[in-house]
Amino acid sequence: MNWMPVYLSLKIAFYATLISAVFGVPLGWLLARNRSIGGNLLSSFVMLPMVLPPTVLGYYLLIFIGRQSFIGRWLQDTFQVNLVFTWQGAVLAAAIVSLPLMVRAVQASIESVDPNTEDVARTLGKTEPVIFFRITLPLAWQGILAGVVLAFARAMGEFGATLMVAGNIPGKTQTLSIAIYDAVQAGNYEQANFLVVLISVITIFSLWILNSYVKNNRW
Amino acid sequence: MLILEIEKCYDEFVLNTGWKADKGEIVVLFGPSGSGKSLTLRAIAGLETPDRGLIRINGRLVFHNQKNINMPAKDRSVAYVPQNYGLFPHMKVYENILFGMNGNSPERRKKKAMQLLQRVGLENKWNKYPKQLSGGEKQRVALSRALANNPEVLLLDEPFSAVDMTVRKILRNEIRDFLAQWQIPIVLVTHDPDDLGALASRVIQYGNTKVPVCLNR
Repeated sequence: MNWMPVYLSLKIAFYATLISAVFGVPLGWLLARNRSIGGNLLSSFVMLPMVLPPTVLGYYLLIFIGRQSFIGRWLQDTFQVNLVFTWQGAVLAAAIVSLPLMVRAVQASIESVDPNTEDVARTLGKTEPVIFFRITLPLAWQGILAGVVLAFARAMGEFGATLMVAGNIPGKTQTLSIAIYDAVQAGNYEQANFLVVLISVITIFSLWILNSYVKNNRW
Repeated sequence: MLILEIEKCYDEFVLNTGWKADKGEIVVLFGPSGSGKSLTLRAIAGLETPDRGLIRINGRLVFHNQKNINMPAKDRSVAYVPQNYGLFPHMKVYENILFGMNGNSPERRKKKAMQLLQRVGLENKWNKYPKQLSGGEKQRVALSRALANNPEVLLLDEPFSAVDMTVRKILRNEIRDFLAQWQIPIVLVTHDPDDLGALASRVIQYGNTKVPVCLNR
């Protein structure tokens, strides 16, 4: 059995989740607290990866980070970094695809925090960062955790955009879902079965952990 | 002493009010819902910005639109107890009170928090979460938390709306005796006429001075 795709998928999903959390939590907070036209525009933009076909998304990414593009050339010239056909490129693709799930979950959970509690904290002399970290974040924690798990699951299963950006290089960018496709194409059903069972187990297990955690932590 | 003279335009009505509250006085803002009572409280607390006017607390100008003064809520030294008390559900009773206390060493803060709880007869509930308390107990915790920092003004929004009629009577007496110990201006919002006789030093009527159009908009 070839374990490499499993390891790659876990690594890529881990970094992708990290990135989408770092961007998704502030974005979700912003969207929950800002109901202006700008907020609506931003919201639509953030949700795009959820409705666009993954191949289209991958194509956009290729245009933006490819060697011919401004950003791609800049990355190449200043950092000697090329994202196309690398696992870091796959991380970028997975992060963008999972960001909407993260943002939606964070936004919903922050919207459910009673604004009175934040107002009281203001009158008690607290600054906005203190309020965010000691009131808003702890109260929205479960929703944020749900967002993390969903984003991770989505990143684990990423196929279309990853294939476009990172390709299908065994041992380098061949993730679980791509390896499954590859194995089926090659008629290697033993490997396909193994990977399918594995990804199912990982996904069900993470959802189960999430559910039992949320059940035990309600005030 | 609290002095205010404010105006704010909303789509459906105009808030226009001016009055003052002395030390130890309970000023009751009375009127139907939607007449701007809560908005007045929020403006005093610094959670809402009026379009025009001024708010002065003990000689400090905390809001003045012409002088461009608008002190943020955190610096106003105004205690605010919202309608549902706004207790922090993820913190225990004593943590709720500690959260609002600034300055002093942690030990002294803790001691003072326990003293405040003793004063309202809740010292044995210090380790409980808000959801484990009754409506009246929640109110007492919210009051203790609001007063823990020795504020210069106390604002109470519909303090009895969450409890039933029988408890309301007891709470009214309780809160009056309790508030008498604090020599600061207290502003209380209600739409219940029974609150007036029991609590008010002065009543400000809301809702009968509606101006249909907002002038200099």
